[in-house]
Amino acid sequence: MRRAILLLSCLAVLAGLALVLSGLCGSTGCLRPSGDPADIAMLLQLRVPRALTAFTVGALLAMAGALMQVLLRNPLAEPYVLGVSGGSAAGALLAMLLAASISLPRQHVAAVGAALGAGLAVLLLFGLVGKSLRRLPLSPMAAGHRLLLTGVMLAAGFGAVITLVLTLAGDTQLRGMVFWLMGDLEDSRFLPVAAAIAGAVLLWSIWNAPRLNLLARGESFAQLLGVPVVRLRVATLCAASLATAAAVTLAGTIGFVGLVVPHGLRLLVGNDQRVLLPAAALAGGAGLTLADLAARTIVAPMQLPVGVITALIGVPLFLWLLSRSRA
Amino acid sequence: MTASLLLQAEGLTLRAGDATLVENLDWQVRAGEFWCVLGKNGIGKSTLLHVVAGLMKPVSGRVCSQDGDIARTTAQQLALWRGLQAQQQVDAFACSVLDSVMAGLHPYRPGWGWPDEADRRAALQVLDRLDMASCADADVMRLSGGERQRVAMATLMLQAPQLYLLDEPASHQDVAAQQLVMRTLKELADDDHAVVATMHDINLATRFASHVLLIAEGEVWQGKAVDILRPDLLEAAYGCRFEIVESIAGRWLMPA
Repeated sequence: MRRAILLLSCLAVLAGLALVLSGLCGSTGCLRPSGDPADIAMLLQLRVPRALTAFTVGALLAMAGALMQVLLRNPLAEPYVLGVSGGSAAGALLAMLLAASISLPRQHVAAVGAALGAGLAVLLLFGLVGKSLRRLPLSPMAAGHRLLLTGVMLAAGFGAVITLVLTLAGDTQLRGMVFWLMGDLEDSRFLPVAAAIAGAVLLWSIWNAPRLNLLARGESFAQLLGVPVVRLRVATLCAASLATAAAVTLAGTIGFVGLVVPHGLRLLVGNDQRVLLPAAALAGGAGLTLADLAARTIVAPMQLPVGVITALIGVPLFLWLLSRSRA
Repeated sequence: MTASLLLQAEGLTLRAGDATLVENLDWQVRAGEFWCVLGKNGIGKSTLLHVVAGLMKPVSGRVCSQDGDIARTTAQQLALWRGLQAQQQVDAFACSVLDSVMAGLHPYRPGWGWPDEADRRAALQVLDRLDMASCADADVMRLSGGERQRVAMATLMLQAPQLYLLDEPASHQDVAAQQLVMRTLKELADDDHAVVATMHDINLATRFASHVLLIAEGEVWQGKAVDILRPDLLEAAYGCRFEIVESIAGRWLMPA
């Protein structure tokens, strides 16, 4: 337990540092605390909301990934695997396409479309697998396969819609759409809602962590030890979907955080969800905040898509962790 | 004999797909009894255990603990009454053997507590009873099939329910470990628990079981082990001939 507290404190300090650094620095250089009103205005209007957005999105994605990995009992699961992000992206792009045809500004509709698309994807998913979720899977092998396959199929369907919209879109819209798809932390209007969802998902996960520990060991195993598995699985799927939908609505589809952060942490600290879930929130938040800082500053004043940075840092880091793990 | 009644099944009918496996079974298990459930592959042994454990609902009939119908009991209460060792253990994530065994304590402290020194000692003790203490720090994903099965049994023993249900506990074990597992189960039964284990080895059942439930197509025999483990009933259940071989160590039933 002492080790867990130490680790979480270290991650909390890291997260704090990442937020401060990201709040003060940007594409026009780093601010000093001078009290210049123009600086303070920039800080409050641009950099602080952006840093908080990055942190919230990172935390949401990492928690959603960790929950998905427990729910599907598959260390390779990630928040996007069940098609929620696909639905969200398809919704956002469709909304942008429609908005252009009736000449509304695209910034206002993308998030709304994303939220609607994510909601539709979750409804479809529950409609298709609800029956098998309500039954206790007896064979440890087959459990989760149905959910996984259904999600992968939904994701593929939404992928086709995304491709279709990109084909239909005019040249002027295409660039905005592609940027949205790669992840865009510019828009922080939904930040309060997303932060509230992140807090709620974190509290729920910590409260249920002992039961999730057993669920990770097998559905009927957990049921036999007194966990109401059917209810817990539905709740886990809801929490993970909600977190994914909030993240994608806020910032588009930023890849890699949801897979690499929980998996990497698991290699470092083991698979105790009581430690892993809060650690994932902190590490995911800090990681995406730093990645966004890098995206804004490396080739300033140009900004890189943050998804490129998460992948460029995430891939070698993950491979290194994998090679030094015992497996 | 007024040992307490731990399990009472009334009019159980079990079905797999369209095939009826067991029809209208009445069955009582008391503390101190060691039941072996025998029968051909796919005859319904595992299904029976799953239904008794409350993981599946019977087509008709009901399963009762001392507190009444288990369908009206919470998962938490059930975990204190019965435990089940599944036929196979499938791990998706790495976990140390000791942590894996300590999961058995969950029914007693479902909250957020961390295991203390006493829990660790208790877990080591059950591992030691099954000759697995030397593997306490190993990763469950690196164990052999038989070792992993004994870790599952240790978990069940730490859970310490009143009714032990085990699906083929001897199947992956070497000859010596089979004796150890069966002896331990016998000790548990003698310690005022009830043990129900599905088996394929009739001679292990002959040596250790106090009672036998023999499932055949369309018929179930149950009773004291000596009364059920007869060549004629076994032939009816398995469809092959059996011969009795008398030896100094006891009576063997040899399929011929």
